[in-house]
Amino acid sequence: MMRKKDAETDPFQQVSTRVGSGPFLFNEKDTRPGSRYVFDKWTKYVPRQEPPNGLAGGKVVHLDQVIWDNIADEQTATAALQSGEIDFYELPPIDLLPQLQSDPNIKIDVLNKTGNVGIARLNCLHPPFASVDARRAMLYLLNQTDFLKATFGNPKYYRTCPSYFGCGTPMETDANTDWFKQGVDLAKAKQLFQQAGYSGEPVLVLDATNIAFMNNSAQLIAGQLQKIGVKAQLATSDWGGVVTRRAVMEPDDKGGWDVFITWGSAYAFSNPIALNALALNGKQGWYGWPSDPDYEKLRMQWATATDDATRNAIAQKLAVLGWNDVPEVILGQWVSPSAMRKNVSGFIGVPEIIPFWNVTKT
Amino acid sequence: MGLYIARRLAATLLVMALVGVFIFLLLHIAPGDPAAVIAGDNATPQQIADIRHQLGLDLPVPVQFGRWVWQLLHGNFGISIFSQAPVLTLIEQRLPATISLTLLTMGFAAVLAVGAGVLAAWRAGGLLDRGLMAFSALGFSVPVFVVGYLLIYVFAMRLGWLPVQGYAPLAAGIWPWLSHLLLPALALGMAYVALIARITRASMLEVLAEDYMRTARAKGASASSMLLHHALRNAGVPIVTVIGIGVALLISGVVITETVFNIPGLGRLTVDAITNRDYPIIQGVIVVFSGAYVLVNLAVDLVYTVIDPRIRY
Repeated sequence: MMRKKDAETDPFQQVSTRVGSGPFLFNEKDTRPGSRYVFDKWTKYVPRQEPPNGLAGGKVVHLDQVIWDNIADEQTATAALQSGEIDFYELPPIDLLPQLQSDPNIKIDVLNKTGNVGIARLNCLHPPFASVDARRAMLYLLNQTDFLKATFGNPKYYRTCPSYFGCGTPMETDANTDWFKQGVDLAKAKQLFQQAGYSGEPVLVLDATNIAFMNNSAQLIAGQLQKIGVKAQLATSDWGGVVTRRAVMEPDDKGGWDVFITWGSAYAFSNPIALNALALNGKQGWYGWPSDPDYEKLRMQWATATDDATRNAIAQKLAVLGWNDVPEVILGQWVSPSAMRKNVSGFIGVPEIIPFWNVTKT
Repeated sequence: MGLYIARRLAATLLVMALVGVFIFLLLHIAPGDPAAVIAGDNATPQQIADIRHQLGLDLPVPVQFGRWVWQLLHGNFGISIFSQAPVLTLIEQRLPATISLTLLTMGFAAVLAVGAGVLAAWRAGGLLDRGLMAFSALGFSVPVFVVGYLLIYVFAMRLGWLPVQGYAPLAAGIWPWLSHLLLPALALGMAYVALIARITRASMLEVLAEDYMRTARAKGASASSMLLHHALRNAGVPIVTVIGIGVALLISGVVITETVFNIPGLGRLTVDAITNRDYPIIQGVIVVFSGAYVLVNLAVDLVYTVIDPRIRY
């Protein structure tokens, strides 16, 4: 909900005023952009008289103030939680979880149960992935478990998932996932690359070295491609470099790319309208620019469907076309546990955000 | 002297201008696009192009540079691309933490290092000398973040004497301010102490071999008088020089130290701005850092005249 004058701001201009309607009040005075964000309890807010239910229901605030500190160093954030300087750590790295679990004052909880889906996006404008055969080859080349194990280690926090719309989501489907059931098949992947007319040109994998999942995955993809004789090369930079380069539509030798890695909320993957990665609308669309007019017609039908049963039926058809076109390869699904002091409780588990109403500290 | 200071201040402006040009060109040559970062993961190339146009990033680089210089000449460091806050405000918010950390580090490092260097020279070749020089070699060799983690583990986690992270302004009280800065200053100061201690030792050894030191000894001067009054003053110029040059070491160390100890200073601001390709912030902070560096070295040049009356400008 926005004020009319704010809502009328040019969509490409940032809204500079912060006016909310929720149970917290943004404390601009104590906020330090990029470092600390402070929210005070809004005492005039009247919550609904019912228990919270996801993002709905009664939003009762039990804390006077919530301070979000952006602690860049993971080891420092872990130490700060253990020493009681902070109460909640949203995304502790998996390799530091044992240290936190061994602390009797700390508990670990997965608040976003559907988690995230990792993908390798393929560039459909230029060889080799302009050919659908080369894109399909990637389905037989990459083993999700390898990618998940490389970054997340503990199987408790990850799962393989072939669903075009993520697993554990309203649109989950195993339509057209024979490639997954069959498993990795290097010979078939090699044959498909040959079918695609691959002639030994370099395949450029964008590698964001400052993000573990992206870095590990880029190296694994390059390694697998090299196993079947594809000349894979890593283009290393930070994530800022990747987001710039992936927008280039030119071929590799003019600043373009062939593969990049990213991830999104699994919940977002269940919505083919909201998530640009699930659109196959060519150069008007998201990086990689896959195109399939039949798929797009179905996507519009999904948008106008009035009930879940219809949406699910359309999602099945979309998945069939999607896995025929292969705009991207799924690298697996994982959840990110949060860590908190044991005297803090009441967090509501919803995808993508962490509400601080209902939270108590004793 | 007044003319000399005026000339140096003018040169400072020139240096800052050159640094500004260099940084501006470097940022615009380096890969990365703030529009792509702002647009987020779900944006299309057209949306990014629109944002780039809104921000004026599609203008020729000389035009963008001209605009930035014009703003700078009016005391305006520009607006952060990411937060839309004035860069000067962001710098003002972060400056106290960085100044506190830097001054505390320089203060304790200078006292500790000069003392260690004098003692090492006095007992040259002995156990004390070897121990102090081994410590200084360690200070050079161990990265700041490793020292930082060790200090956090021992003094914050195990002993619980000091906080792990964060910053408290001086207005919150001396102890809260100091307690948050002690560990970061120790971590940051290790290499600085090592550098100053080694130069102090070398400089003192040279002076201690001079004839006038033998004369002082023959006149019955005490060890402390010889070391502090006669030797240290004559060895002072190279020591003060290295304290000034070492400020560059501190500035680079501040970036890491502020990250490890979660101090909301200019170092953290720089790292975040680089990640977000927030050009106005990066340019603004670098100009401030370069100005500080040049001014510290001007102060060092002026201190020479106090240490050695023969030096006149």
